[in-house]
Parts: sequence; structure tokens; C-alpha cells
Amino acid sequence: MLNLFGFIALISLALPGFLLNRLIMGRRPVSVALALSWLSGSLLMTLLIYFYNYYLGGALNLAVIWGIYSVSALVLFFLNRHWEFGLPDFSFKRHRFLVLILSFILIGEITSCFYPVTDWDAVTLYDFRARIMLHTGDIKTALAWVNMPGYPMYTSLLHYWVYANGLWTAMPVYPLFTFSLAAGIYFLFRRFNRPGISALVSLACILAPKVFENSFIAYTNLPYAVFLILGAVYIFFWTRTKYFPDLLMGLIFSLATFWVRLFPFALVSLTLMLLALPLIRKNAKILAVLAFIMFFVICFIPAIRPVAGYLKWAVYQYYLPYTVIFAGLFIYGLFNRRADWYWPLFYTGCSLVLLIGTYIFSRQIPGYYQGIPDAVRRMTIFINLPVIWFAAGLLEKAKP
Amino acid sequence: MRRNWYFLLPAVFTSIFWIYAFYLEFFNYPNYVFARFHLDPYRTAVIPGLITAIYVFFRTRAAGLKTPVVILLLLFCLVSIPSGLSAMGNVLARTALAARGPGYITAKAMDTAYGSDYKFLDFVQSYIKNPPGVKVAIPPMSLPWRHTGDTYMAASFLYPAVVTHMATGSAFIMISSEADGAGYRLWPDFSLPAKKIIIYDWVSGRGVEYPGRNWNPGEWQARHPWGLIIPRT
Repeated sequence: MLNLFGFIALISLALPGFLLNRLIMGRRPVSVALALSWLSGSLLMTLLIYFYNYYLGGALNLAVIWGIYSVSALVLFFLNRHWEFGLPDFSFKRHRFLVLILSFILIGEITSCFYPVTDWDAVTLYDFRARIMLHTGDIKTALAWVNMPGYPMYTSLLHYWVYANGLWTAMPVYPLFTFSLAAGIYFLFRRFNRPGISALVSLACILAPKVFENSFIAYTNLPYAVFLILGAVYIFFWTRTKYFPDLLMGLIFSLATFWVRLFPFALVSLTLMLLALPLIRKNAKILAVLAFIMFFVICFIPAIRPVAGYLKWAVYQYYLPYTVIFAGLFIYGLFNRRADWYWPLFYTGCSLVLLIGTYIFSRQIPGYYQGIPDAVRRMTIFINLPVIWFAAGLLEKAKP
Repeated sequence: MRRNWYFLLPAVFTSIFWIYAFYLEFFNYPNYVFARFHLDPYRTAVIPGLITAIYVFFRTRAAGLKTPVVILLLLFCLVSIPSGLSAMGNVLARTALAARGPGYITAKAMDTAYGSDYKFLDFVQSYIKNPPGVKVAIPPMSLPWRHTGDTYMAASFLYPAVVTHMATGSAFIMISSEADGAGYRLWPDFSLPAKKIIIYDWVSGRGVEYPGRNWNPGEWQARHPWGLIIPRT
């Protein structure tokens, strides 16, 4: 019974998230707000719980976290009062492919209720911090107890939320990120294409290497990738439509990545906001080519060359054929007037950040990076999704 | 039209076959299918993808789609279908395992991740009975003590006890015969005066107590003991 309550409590994070999304998105169709509601709700609630405990010093317990939940939901409901709340215009027949994909993920979600947290990083850090918080009701104690205090608290606070509500395992948290990714990408791509094609793009995204399998691993890589990609997609839309809510959602999701892991890839999507400027947009193709050339030139700098060789093996060869598909699309895009250069720039920018970041890391702890190729692959599970979006752009029928 | 069926049926049947192969892989253990049938499902899953791609090629050509769109759909078949079959096999295996209950899955999942060492750590945690801040000395953080010497893992399993590698000043000292990644080496490998020695019985999951007996590794070496020492201060 307690487990069922815990499960419902986990899903219920969607309510403040939906109200927040509705507040930001305004008159846009309810479906996107609903698709990304759990993601926004988890972000909002973890930030509020963190603020309440870390800065205001209030102890955490079940009554307190539900108090925070209720107050935030009520405030958001009050702010939303001028919007009409009707049931979303959702036809199961029309969106049957999406329903099929989401049902499949939901089966994975239900099975996760039976699995314990076993992954080393989670057992020793993310989940451990949640168990300390459950015991002490204090984030600072949890941070002082573990040996790696610099990691953001997002997933630990989600684990805390499910444990405080009586669920015995935090594993059901993770398929919800895949759910949000699939539903979010479907409805966002749906803005300018048919439901069938949108479902295909959504499916391609969740079936990109390591994405789906991370639904059952209690690491931060999947949440990070989901926030990063959805943030990049919203900024992509904003650069084309200048619709302010898109920019706001893009900024929230991109900045949220720093609340999940301290990787700098979101800086790329934030920089690409410059594509909204007509002058930059006009020269996007030249910029993409220059960025590509710059990436290759940096790869051949003697000090960086070993790192580049390592990344070639650990990431780009591992993620074949996506790397080759990207190269092919890039060349195709050079001869195609309709190609949008946002995604090639995003891919190249992330590759540059990865290269420079790994180089800096290699200077801090020489040689260590070569022993953890699996970690760098997990870190970059998002890198194939821009390739899918770039390819999907060719199927575009009309502007969003 | 008839040609479509030539490819659709093999696409469906090979897909079912590979879903089953992935199901076996996820239900049992990684590399199970290769060990049992000498078939690597990950490398060969492109076969149903290829057959589906041929089917899609004929369908899209008949529908008169543009070449770039056809190429993208073919790439989707070749790249995403193998991942999709793996995902389906994974979810099916998880469902079958879930039907056996959380107790079964917990034991299986923990066993896959940490061998049976987690049972010993659970025993230590339950034996020291949670006085917060009590110090437990564990083996050095090196092989062969991969799990019992792991500061981070032991800290998590033994919480709220404090884990240390210093025997001096500790309320409990862990005895470990773990031999993971290097040859067997009993720890503690030094003698020390003790109030009590508790030896973990792997069969019953309980501790057998030896009160008033000092720890001398030479006496225990051949028995490969696991347990706890309560040192005499």
C-alpha cells in the first residue's frame, strides 16, 4: 500500500510541472505541457526542497515536502487562473504510434518498481545521499558525509522524494525521463510534421545508442541528456519563430542541466541563441564549416592529439554509424538550400566542448581518462540525437 | 504486391527470433546467448533490420517518395530496428523477472553487480546495529578487496557507521577473505588483541562468536574467514 502511494507520489510531480509549463507556454496546445509536465515538476520540486533545506535551514520530512508541493501547486494554479483548463484534444487513433511507444516505456516503468538500485555511482553517491537525507532530514549532512560533495543534488532529491513517500526503490524515476523525451520530442516535432513521422523521430531518439538502456540505470546521464536535448530543441524553435515561451523553456531546460551534472554542453545551445540574429543566421553555413574545420585543426595540435585519438576510439567509433551519417548529412546540407545549420553547429560545438573538456581533465589527472571509456560514452549519450534532428529536418514540410 | 510479402514475413519472423535472443540475454546474464548458442545478438541484429529495410525500400519506391526520405527511412531500419529489438527483449525479460517478485530480482541484481559480497556487508551492517558514528575498519582500498575494501561502497552499505582504513581507534575491524582480481590475502594480516571474534557463516547468514580470543591471522588463514573483530582497547 505504501509502495503504491510512493509510486503515485512520484507520478504526482507532474501536477506542478503541468501548471508551470502551462504558465510559460500560454495558449499553446496542452499536449506539450502535459508531455513535459513530470520533467518540469521534478525540476521545480527538487529546487524548492533544496532551497527550503539548504538556505532556509528547515528540516525535511514527509509533511514538509508535501507542504512545499501543495504551496507551489496552489501558487501556480492561482497564477494560471486566466487560462481555461479543458481536457487536451487528444485522439488515441490519431496518435496511435505515440501511444504504442509510451505504453512500451510504461511497461518498463512498472517493472522498475521491482528492481533495487545497484549501480555503483548510485549506491555510493546519488542514492546514498538520499538515504542520509531520509535518516537526518538534512542536505548539508548528506553532502558532508559523502566523499564527492560537488555533484548536484537533482537525482538524489528525486530518490529522497520516492523514499520519503514509502517506495522501496528509486528505479521507477528513470524510465520517466525516457517517457518525457519520447512524448516531448513527438509533440515538438509534431509542430511541423505528420504524427507518423513525429513518432518515427521520437522512436529514433529513444532508440539511439545507450538512451533506452539508461532508463534502467540510476545514473544522471539520461536526465542530463533529456534536459540538454529538450533545451536545445526549444532554443532551435526560438531561433526560427522568436516565440518567447520557446526561449523561456529552452533556457529553463538548458540551465537545468547544471542542476543534474556539471558538464558544460548546455553552453553550446545557449551560444546558438545567436542564430536568432539575422546576420549570424544568414552565415550559419559558413560558421558550421568553420566550426568543423576548427574542430579538426584543434584535433591535430600535438598536446591535444592523444585526447582526440582517445575520443575518436571511445566515442565516435563506438557510436558508428551515427558519426558517418552526420558527415554524410553535413555534406548533403552543403548542397541543400533548405538545410538548417542549428543541429550541425550543435553537434560540432558539443564535440569541441568534449575535446577541450577531456583535455583539461587529462591535465588534472594524467592518464586516468583513458581507463574510463564507458564513462565518456555515458556522458555523451545525447550526441546522436542532434544527428537525428538534423536528418529529420529534411522531412520538414512547413515552418513551425 | 506479392514481393512485399516475401520480405515482410521474414522481417517479422527474424525480428521475433532476435527479440527472443535478447530476452534470453537479459533474463539470464550478459553474453548468455553467445556462451550458449555461439550467436552474438548485438552484432547480428542488423539482419532483421536489413530485411525490413529491403521491404521498406520496395514500399517507399512504390509510394513515390523522394530519394533523401527513402535513404533516411532505410537508415532508420538499419540503425534503430536492432536497438528496438534489444529494447523489446529487455522489457520482456524485465517483465518475466518482475513476475517472480522483488525478493528474487533484488538477489539476482545485487549478485550480478557485487557477487555475494553484499550479503556479508548486509550482515556487518545488521550486526553493528546502527550506533551512529561507530568506526568500522575495512581492508585497504586495493585488490583483492574490491568490494570490502571500497571506502565508498562500504560507507554506503554500513551507514550510519563511519568507515575507516585505520584499525587503531575502531570499534569493529572487518575480516575479509575477498579474492577479487588478485590472489587470496586474509585481512587483517596482523595480530591484535580482541574482545571477540565474529565469523560470518555463509550458509546460515549468521555470525559465530568466539569471545575472549585474540586475532592471529596465521590461525585463520586456511579457513578463509569473513567476519568482524571487536578489538580490546
